[in-house]
Amino acid sequence: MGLWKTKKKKVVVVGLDGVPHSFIQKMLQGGELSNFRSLLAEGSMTKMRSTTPCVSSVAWSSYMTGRNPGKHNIYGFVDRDPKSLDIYIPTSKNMGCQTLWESLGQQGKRVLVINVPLTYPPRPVNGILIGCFLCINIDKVSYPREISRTLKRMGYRIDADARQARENEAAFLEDLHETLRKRVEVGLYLYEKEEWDFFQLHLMETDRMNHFFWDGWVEESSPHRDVFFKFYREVDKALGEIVRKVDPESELIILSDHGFCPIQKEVNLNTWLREKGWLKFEGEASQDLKAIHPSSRAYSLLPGRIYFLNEDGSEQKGFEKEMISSLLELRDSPSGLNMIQKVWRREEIYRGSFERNSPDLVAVPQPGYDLKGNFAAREVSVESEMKGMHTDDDAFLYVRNHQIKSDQAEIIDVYPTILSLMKLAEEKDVDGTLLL
Amino acid sequence: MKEKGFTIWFTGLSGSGKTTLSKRLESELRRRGILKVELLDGDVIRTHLSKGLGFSKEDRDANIKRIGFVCKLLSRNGVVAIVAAISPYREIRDVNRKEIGDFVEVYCKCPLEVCIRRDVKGLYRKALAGEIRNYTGVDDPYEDPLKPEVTLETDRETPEQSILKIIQKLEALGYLLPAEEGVYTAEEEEKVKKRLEDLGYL
Repeated sequence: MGLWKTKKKKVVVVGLDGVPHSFIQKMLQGGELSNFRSLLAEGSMTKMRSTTPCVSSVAWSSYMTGRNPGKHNIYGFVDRDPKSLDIYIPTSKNMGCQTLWESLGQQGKRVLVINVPLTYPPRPVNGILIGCFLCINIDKVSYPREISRTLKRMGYRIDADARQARENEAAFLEDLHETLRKRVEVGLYLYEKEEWDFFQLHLMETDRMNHFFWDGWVEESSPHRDVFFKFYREVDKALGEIVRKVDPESELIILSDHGFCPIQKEVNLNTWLREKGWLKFEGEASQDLKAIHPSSRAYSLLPGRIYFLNEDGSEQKGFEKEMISSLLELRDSPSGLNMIQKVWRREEIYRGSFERNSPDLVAVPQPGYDLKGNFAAREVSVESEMKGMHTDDDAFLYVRNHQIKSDQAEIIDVYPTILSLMKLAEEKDVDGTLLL
Repeated sequence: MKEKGFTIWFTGLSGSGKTTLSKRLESELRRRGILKVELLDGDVIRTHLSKGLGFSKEDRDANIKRIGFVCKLLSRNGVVAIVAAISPYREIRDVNRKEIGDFVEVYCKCPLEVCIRRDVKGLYRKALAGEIRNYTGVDDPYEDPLKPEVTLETDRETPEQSILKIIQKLEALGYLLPAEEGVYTAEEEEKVKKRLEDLGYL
């Protein structure tokens, strides 16, 4: 007779925020990332599409719900109440549907989730959840709250201080390395100590490195060359330490949420809207949406989210058309290069009960043009202090012991794929599709 | 948020807004991250759990007792049960309150004339014409709650105001974490905005 009791399927997920597929391949060609290299022999890796817009809050929300933003209600790191125009920071409290770990918990699985973006405040799970960098106070970062004691005892850091990257590079790098070390140390400690069926450790530090030091990757003569490579050797080492713990029977997934490319310019869409006469302020331009003049027709929140004001019916359709063609014609000076590659209409990309909170349009920039939401900037395109920006088509997904079948993987597809790996039933209104 | 569940019981005349408000409350709770919510609507219950029961006092009591029993099971298993049922008799509502324990009574107070004018289901017209019998408010009594946790004046308030009243009461009773305590203090909010600004995310 066959086995009447199947072995419990355990799943381990490691998130490497903002690490591009193309970058990993080139690093491997250059003889770097030895731990990653040995993993490739045991599984498959593919390029993966992110979300629109491609920021971590949206991408990881779609990862952890398997649903489009119209269903999970997270559209960026900042949002506004459509009626009052109050600005707020979307958190897990605004997430309109159940997460992967909540679903697993309901099916009796224990989870251990560390640092995934948009998990603050930590919603209750069957297990442990340590929230993300949207948390400021370590006493409030975890569920159950008692875990914070362990975190403090071990010297856990929620996030590296990004301000330092501009003011004191050496201090920032030290902080970044220490934050990474502590994150992995805590992750491995809880991995051993706790009982779980699903484990996820998220490394945010890669995204931070790429934002401030991407020149170290693309320019051989960059002064950041050494620190960049040194950092990624540490990341690979950490990956090796985690992977060595995972028994061969367990499932292992490693993924990122978006790609990266060098920044050419920052593009202030609100300044452009002001130049077009579509956005006016009562008095000085400011970040306060309530100070927008009633005759205004649109405003933008980063990256590339555009909201119409006072528009309805056929008039809006005409304005929408004009806005889209104007955006696609938006050119950098003096090069004359197009800065926008695509403009999505709300109805093309968002569907669900939170669709009404979505932007009317989302502009996708050409690589190198980072779309900003600054209201008071004088110029449309300006030099950036940052070195790297996100791209939407160059995330990666690695799955051990399985062949990824789709060559058009999207981050939203990982949710149903994990449910399937854990031998759990499909969920009805998930937007992603199975990748294996 | 407390780990244990509780029951929110909407009572009031037919047409007083129980169904509308209970659905809105369900969405609001889900938006706040409370995902284990079950809505038990009186009209739906009568086609399943209480199929075959009529509208005599005895049958009405049996119906409300059954709903109360289900709420007790749900609540003790960590689910928030929301009931929208006329539940006209005070005594049996109080029995449920005692049985369930974590019980929040929400009275949808609305003058009979307004409910008759609304007449969403067209049943007041039939009752007044004598085509149906034992209709609450027409030829069957409705007993106001004496000490409901929340009283909603649905002929004077907007649904948003009513929902806010309920949420504030649930926060005051400790069933919900006040939003400001749960997410950021003013100082923390400033800090997180700074952090996002430093990362170029604002």
